[in-house]
Amino acid sequence: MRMRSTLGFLAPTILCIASLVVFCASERTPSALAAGAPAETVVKIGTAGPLTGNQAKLGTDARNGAMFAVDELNAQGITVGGKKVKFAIQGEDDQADPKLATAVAQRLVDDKQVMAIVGHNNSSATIPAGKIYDEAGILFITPNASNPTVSQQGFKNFYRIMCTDPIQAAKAATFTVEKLKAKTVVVVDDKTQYGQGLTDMYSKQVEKAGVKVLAREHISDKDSEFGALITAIKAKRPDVFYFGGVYSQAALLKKEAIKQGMKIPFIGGDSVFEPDYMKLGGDITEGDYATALGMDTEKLPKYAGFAAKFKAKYGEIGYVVPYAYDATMVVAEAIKKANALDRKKIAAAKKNIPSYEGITGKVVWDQYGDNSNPVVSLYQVKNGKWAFVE
Amino acid sequence: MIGQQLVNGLVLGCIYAMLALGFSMVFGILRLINFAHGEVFMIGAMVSITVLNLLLAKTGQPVSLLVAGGLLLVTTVAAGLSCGVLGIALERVAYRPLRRAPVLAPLISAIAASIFLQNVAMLVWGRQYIAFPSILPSGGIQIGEAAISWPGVLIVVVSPMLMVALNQFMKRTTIGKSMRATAEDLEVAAYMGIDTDRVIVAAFFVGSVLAGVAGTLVSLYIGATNYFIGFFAIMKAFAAAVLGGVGNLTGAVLGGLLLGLIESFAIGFLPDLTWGFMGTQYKDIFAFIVLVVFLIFRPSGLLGEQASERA
Amino acid sequence: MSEHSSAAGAPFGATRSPHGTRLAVPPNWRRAAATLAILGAPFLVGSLLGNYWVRVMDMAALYVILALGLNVVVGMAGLLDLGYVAFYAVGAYTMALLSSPQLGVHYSFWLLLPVAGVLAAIAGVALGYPVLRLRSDYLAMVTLAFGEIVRIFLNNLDTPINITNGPMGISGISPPYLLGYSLKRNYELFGVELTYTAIFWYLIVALGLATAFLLGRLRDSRIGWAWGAIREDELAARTSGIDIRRLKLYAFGTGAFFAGFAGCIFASFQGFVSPESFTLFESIAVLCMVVLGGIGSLPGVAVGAAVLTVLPESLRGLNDLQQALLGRQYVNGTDLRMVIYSVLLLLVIIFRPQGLLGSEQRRRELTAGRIDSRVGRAGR
Repeated sequence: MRMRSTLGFLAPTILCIASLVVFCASERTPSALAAGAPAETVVKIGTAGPLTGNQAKLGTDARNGAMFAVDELNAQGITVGGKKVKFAIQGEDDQADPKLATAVAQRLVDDKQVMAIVGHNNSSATIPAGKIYDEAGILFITPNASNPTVSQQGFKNFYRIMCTDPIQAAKAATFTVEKLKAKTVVVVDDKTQYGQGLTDMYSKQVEKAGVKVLAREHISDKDSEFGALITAIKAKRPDVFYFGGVYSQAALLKKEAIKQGMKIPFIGGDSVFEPDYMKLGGDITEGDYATALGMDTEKLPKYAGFAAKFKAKYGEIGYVVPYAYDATMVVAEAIKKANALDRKKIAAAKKNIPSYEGITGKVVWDQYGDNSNPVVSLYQVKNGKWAFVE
Repeated sequence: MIGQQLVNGLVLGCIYAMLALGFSMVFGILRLINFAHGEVFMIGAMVSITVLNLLLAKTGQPVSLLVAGGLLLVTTVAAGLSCGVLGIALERVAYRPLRRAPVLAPLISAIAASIFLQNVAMLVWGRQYIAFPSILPSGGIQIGEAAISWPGVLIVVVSPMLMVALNQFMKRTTIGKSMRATAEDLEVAAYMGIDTDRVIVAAFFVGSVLAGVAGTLVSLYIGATNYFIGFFAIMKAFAAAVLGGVGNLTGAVLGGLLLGLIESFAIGFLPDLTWGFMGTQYKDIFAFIVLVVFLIFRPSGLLGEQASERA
Repeated sequence: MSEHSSAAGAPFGATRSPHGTRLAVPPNWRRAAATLAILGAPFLVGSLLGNYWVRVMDMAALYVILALGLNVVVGMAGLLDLGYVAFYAVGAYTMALLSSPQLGVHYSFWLLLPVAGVLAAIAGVALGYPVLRLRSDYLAMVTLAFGEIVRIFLNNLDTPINITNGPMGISGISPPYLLGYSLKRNYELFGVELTYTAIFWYLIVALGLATAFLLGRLRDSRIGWAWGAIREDELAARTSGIDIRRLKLYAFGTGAFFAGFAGCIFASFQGFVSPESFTLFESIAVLCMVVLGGIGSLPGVAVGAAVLTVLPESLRGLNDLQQALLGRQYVNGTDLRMVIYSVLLLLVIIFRPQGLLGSEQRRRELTAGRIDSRVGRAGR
């Protein structure tokens, strides 16, 4: 009796689900349904990153970089397997959320025209998405996801352009010891995978060099009031303050520190290396340090020309743009080498490209897909702008 | 360090006290947890920054303390009034239709209103932190080893003034007395000829103005604000109110001050007390823990007010 | 006290009962059609629209289980639990901890399903014991606080000993195995591709059916009727000899059990859990599903869950629409999601508190005492 009524309610529920699915999907028909054969073969490169949310600038910049690359490729007129192809970017939004990242990955993999992926832009999103890409055997290159665990997942077709976080933490550590000559430090992170990854590495490195880590404090990434925390830190009298987290909280921490008269050097990671850091913090940010992955753009020979062309088309150039551009170009290289529109062949072809000289310098890949030629730079706020130090 | 933490705690406590006051005013009369109170606070913070930026665009960076003070005053009044109006709208749209409905309904409505406000704010002002223009001079007062910045001084001076003003308002004005009467017993007050609807609207207005002022002061103090501060604000307001005694206005103030002090000292000494097991990232759940502990063991708070239906 | 007052013209021969719309016994062909729909849906959707949408269907079915569980607490017993996601997290992390490289142990999914449920239920009873005597709104705040506390602990229990791996979450969670075959792989059967999303669809729907069946029986049992009595008039119920405390604990525990159950499924489906997936937002979303669909009504809640999981997908289409019509994206569709939820919630609770499929009885319960002539009908 009950069984039947239970099944009875199931019927409308299933129908509901099915009809809703059809309704919603009809507003977002995947390109696979496009009727008729296109005149030119379209080769899609999927990009995935936060297009909305508080990291929207990162994802949008990355996608624009990829689009710029594709524009150039199309201008060149590439042929694959004897046919002329047109490249296109399929940009997806993962909002830096691992759950959305898996959904986005699934979508991209379902789309049979997508040959490779440039993304994601956040390590926490790249890992779960990577599992789906790995299963599908599709090539994926991240321009900037920098957590070391990504390459430890055993993905078969994963590559990075930027190097990993431990390298920038190590640079900050070396700078702390050698240039700032600190004897004690206080380390604060925002309890995110990124922030804590940085501070773990930094603490280990400075301790090895004999510097004492007086305290490892944490904030939640939604915090804005740091009075009591700074008081507690100030009481320990550290020489240097290292922060692993985003620029907005870094600015607030610095403000509070200055308010309470704590004027020690302040070092952050690449998330602090943002022009908005000075905008939010104001003058008190003068003299603060931040590390950034990759070589300083002034030192890259091809950068100036690239930046000028990009700015003409898209406006401001963001930090990740040249990396996304290079990643897309590497994908194009693999496609050209494979000379076929087959995901597996393209992924295999990439294995035969051991290094690449791009706008961002030379990348040499090791067996995990990491850049075994890493470069990190350190900057300081001078006159309200980031200036290269070393 | 103790002195400095004391100062930090006091400043924070004043803010919590203002929040708890506004919250308790509504709760005392309607026995309703105004979930959206925290979001009103957040909107006060946002509006104050927007208004101040608008003013600064007209006048330029203030040259004297007097001008800065004047700008701040205008900003605070503007933020306070906007929140007051928002509070009235809230009452009208989300709470009045559900007056006297069983508790589940207005609570759901309150949550819905809170989420709505938070997300609208996110759409309007974006997800990033927004900086409060710095128009007060840096530096402040030094009391022994403790430093208190000028915004902090402002908070510690203005909050008691507001609370005293509120106290006088409740004691001497007709509407204030009506509010107290309605808080004691809504039905009897209605029998006595008090226009309870008007009283309720007034309570929402005053409470929301307080929240708006608190929001302005907090963003001045911290130097920035964000669209999600409302959630923590309501939890702390409620925790402070429960701590001091829900519905009891003096209790709200006491609870707020105590909560601020507890939080500050916890951050300072918690890692040492728990041998590093609990670090400073647990700061926010202090309010939650206080809430849970008090509701379980002493629901009437420190100064008394029944919180459970039946034991 | 007739349990089935017939409502002519109601869909599928539905009848109204004190607990909400209940669907009548369908003739055999309807049962066959329903079974066929369940079996065929993933293939149809998968081939027409792509695997992504089958995944959406899977999540919708999972949320149905969650909503059914919350319905026990909110709908049947009338207690507002705003921290429901905490129990979901307990279940998910149970699966994650006991079946991944994190602790190095790998227990079977089938064993962990009830274990996760039981652990969550224990958490529910432990939370409920001290707080259930509080008034509904205080209870709501406490459960809210509890939900947040659990999330913060999950995010921070990686020092000094690493239990939950903090913000990085736990990945590499083993999939379920059936007769030696992993359920999280794609297979080829008679030339047709059986994707793992399809396999999970069958799994989740089967578990969902079991849940609905169990809860239906619970609702019609003595406990269910006792809950109804408590909901309507606690004093009268107490006077009739009902042990309020114990029954509220049952409700909490049962609701928590199913949340843990769902959490376990979620963990093995996604293969990865992190504290970010268990925010207040989730609790509110599930609450919306229950309220919108119909507090107390099993089919209502299921429909609410299905609708609120699938419909937001169309919000993403809003961006393309703006691009096409206005040339620029003014507002991001997905950001509107919570705005829409909150407005819907507000409208429903004011104008139709019993939700889509709730019963008249429910409407009366939720509006008793209201004196707003605009709504039309005064309370009792």
